[in-house]
Amino acid sequence: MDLDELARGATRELLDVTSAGVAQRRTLLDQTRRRRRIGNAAALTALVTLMAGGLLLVTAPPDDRDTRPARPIGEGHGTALVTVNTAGQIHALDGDVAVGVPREVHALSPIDFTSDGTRVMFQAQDGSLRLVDLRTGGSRSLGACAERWCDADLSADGRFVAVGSGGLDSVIEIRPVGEGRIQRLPIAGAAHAPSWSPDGEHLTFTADEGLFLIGKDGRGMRLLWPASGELATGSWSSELMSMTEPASWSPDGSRIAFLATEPWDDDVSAADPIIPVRYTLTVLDLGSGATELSRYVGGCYCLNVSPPAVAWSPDGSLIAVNVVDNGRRDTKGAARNAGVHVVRPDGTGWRQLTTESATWGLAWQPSMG
Amino acid sequence: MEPEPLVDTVTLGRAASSTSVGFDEFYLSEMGRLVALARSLAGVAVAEDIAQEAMLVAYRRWREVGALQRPDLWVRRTCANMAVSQFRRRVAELRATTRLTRRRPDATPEPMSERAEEFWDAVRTLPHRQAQAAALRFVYDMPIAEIAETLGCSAGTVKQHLSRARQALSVALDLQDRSD
Repeated sequence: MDLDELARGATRELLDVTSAGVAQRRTLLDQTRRRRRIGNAAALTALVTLMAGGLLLVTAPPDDRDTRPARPIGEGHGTALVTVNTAGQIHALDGDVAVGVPREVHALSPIDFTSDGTRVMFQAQDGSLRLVDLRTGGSRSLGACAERWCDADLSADGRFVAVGSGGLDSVIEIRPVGEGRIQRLPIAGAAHAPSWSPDGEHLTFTADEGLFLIGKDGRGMRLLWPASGELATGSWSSELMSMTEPASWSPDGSRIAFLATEPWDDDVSAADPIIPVRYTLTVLDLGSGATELSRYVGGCYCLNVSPPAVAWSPDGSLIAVNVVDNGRRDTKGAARNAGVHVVRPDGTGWRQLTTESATWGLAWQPSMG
Repeated sequence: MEPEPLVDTVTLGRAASSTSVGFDEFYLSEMGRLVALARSLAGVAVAEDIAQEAMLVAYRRWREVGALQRPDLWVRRTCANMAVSQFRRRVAELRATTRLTRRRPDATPEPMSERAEEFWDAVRTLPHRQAQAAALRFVYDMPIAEIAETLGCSAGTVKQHLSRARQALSVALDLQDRSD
């Protein structure tokens, strides 16, 4: 048999198995559209109700931000900035990586350390979510994830892991690391990218409508940052581009850093079916609602380029972000050089660490002891 | 979220019905092969999702897309781009997992023969553009010029992609390529 014969036969089989059920698929398309509209309306109603009630989940903390000059990376921070590249290799951009962190993990693995630096969570090459104790080398399973990748975040004390279950009706589960019951957060519509607050009492997550905050008991859900116009329409492209990356908390829990999104072009052309997205590194004070930092960090179609990731350093003095540059020039601001950068939370001291773009994982590894 | 602007409901109704009829015909004629294209590039788990999502984008923009000379090429390009995007597939796979677990047993995707699966697995390992060109060629039996129009590149580039794809597939599948 030659290639053409095999190709003809394989194509015939492929068309045979995919041609049936078109009418049923058409019905499913309508159901999908209606479901997303209902989800959007419900979330908007909830938001309006919360705003009318004047509920404030987080009280304004005292102003205890670190105003000392930022120390250079590698000097006195006692931390390393760790990334996972597209080949699934964990490596440190600066500083030392503790022994026991595996060199190769799943190519789409998240990476998350406990605040005391003793344990790390990642997705192993076999797809399972794992927690490794860096003191002993001991490893335990945190359960399975969606088919290929984990949408998960480890609490700072290492006692719980929040996992997005996946699917159109994705819910966020809170799994105890030890014994205990798995809880589901009551969120209408698909919810992704959970991120624990440092005290373990709240989480942020992303949905069609934007970035939300919720108590670990499911109470007090509120919209922190709405998704931008075209990107909040409920279409597939908009859902995907509407902030699917997790936010990162300041160590005192008073602020979050995240990547706000908006369409790259003002005029979205039908000739270009995939909406390119601009990312803006944003720091939000949860108490006052004030935006403390807003800085463009590139854009992409994100077909073969990973979207940005953001991580707040354990000592609170720096925010790391990988900047995306897909080669296009943005008329609203110069495209930055791709790679991992750090900046102080007030927007000063912007510095590029590497020209290599981080991929799925970007995390600060705290020093132990 | 900003409220949608008020429109004349009569006009909207007329527009909606004529839009819906045109899209329905388009959907019924295109969807089968679109799923095949998605499956050839992204595998069985996410094929339905990717094809449906491409159609969803087309539906939302039907006023513009339906007016194109070749809306079929537009949706094939959308589907092909979605299928090869690692990042976008991430969310598609999340959705597919939930859908698959909720499906009735008789609604699970049909398997193909081992050799056919092997062939399409090999196509999926090709570099993205080669895989897209090859899949469009096989699934739609598209001429070079049409593949070029779909992918937004030159005919020469498409020929190069197809030639390299054939070489790689022949090696991967241990076959003779009679076009040599």
